[in-house]
Amino acid sequence: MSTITPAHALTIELPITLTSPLHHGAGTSGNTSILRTQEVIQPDGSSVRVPFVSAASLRHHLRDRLAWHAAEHVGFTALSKAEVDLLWTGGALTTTGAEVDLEEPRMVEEHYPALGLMGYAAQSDIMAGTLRASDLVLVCRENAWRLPPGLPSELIGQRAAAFRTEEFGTRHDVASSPVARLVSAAELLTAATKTTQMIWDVQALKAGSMLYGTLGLTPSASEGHKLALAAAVALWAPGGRAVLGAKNAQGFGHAEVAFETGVVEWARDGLARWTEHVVAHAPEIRTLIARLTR
Amino acid sequence: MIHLRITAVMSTPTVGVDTHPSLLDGPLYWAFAQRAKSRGGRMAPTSRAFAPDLPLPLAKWERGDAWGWCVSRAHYEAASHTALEVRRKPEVPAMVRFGADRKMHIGTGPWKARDSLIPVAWMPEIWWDADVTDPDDLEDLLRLITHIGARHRAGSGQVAQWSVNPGPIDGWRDRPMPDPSGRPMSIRAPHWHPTRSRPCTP
Repeated sequence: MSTITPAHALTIELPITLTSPLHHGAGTSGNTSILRTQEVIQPDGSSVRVPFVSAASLRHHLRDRLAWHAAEHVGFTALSKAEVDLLWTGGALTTTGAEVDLEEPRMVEEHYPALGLMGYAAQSDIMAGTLRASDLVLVCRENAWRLPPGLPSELIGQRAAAFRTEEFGTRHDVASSPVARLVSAAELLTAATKTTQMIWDVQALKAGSMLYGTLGLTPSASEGHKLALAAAVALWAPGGRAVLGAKNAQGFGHAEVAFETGVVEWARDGLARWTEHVVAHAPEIRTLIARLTR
Repeated sequence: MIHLRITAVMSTPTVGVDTHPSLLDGPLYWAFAQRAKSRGGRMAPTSRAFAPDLPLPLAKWERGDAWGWCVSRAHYEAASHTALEVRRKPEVPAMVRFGADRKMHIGTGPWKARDSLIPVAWMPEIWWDADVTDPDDLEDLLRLITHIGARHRAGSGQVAQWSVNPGPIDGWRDRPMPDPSGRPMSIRAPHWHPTRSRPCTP
């Protein structure tokens, strides 16, 4: 009779090309950091496991950027553990009670709507955010049935295994350096004779692999939520250059996001307006964060 | 009023749909509220003793003093049951920089590190049977429902497409109904609200 394609009130598409290997961890086995995978049911009913970057990871990158931005522009100098937890990881329930505080969400909306965008828990309330992030799924044959049209067919034609690799390195062994003189003295005292050399190994997605996902807002998202999202996107992927997953300090997870026309400018302008808002509301934001975590 | 079968084609696994009846009036209630808010509307505030009812485009059933919407439980064939790994690390670097505490215990307390495995099910399709009073309004609401089930803010239960087709007469009756000898269950949206609970036959 009819088919309907559901859509967010606002959608940002994220076609992402890796410019360095990417690692999104699922624990370790021996010296190997295991790449996280997800089960994907195929159209023929079979099941395969495919590497991906979780939506939770993407959301954390955005929340982390907003939190550090607030730390800088609100001018936080001292925060309690509860306040850090609220800003960086969404907070926690710390009291019991059946009465919902309706005043606090209004204050959040007025002064720091980034919390309302991402969702948060404070005291006895859990407030749902208006942001919907999707997993970043690998552009490959196993995901072809759920990817939108227009992505590179030469990538969609390949199996996920073609995009997997392993990066390895060796922890520096000081036994073969001038430092060995000092190590030897210590070893004589402890009777230790083994070297400290260790090979580490990281399962990763290859540079050049492509991921696809979306960020979306529900219809009830406010103008403040849209502004905070624009700022988060600008802070996470300035000019389309982003980092994803883990081990970013070791060079993993660098990527280029091919935003649609106008998104980079929308995000940049939004960040400027968001910064003005945060600076103007700094005293109220300090009071609000303290109130939410008291 | 027409009998319709409403089907969601899923692109990610769902969380919690297989542990509740998952009546469709729940997501439709959410969509109605979202649409009203986006148009500047204001709903009566929810309290522990009261949750507003919204005019969903569904027929109603009544039994004694109880009533609900004529929509069935969720039907599906789970292709696979698997798990979603969720991690939540405390932000220790920021606590070091901004805090004054000498220690942070990552194994206990409200800020502990969490490594959770959440059961999820791959359901290629989920369908409901309903008696619908306004098919156009139903489609308008379905257009807003991008996800079904829990963990939807992190991508679970993503709906790729809805389809609406003629459904069986009385298909909606496959659902919990009030029964004094039954166990407490929700009879209509919002299903989380305590005022919606009645003894029901599942």
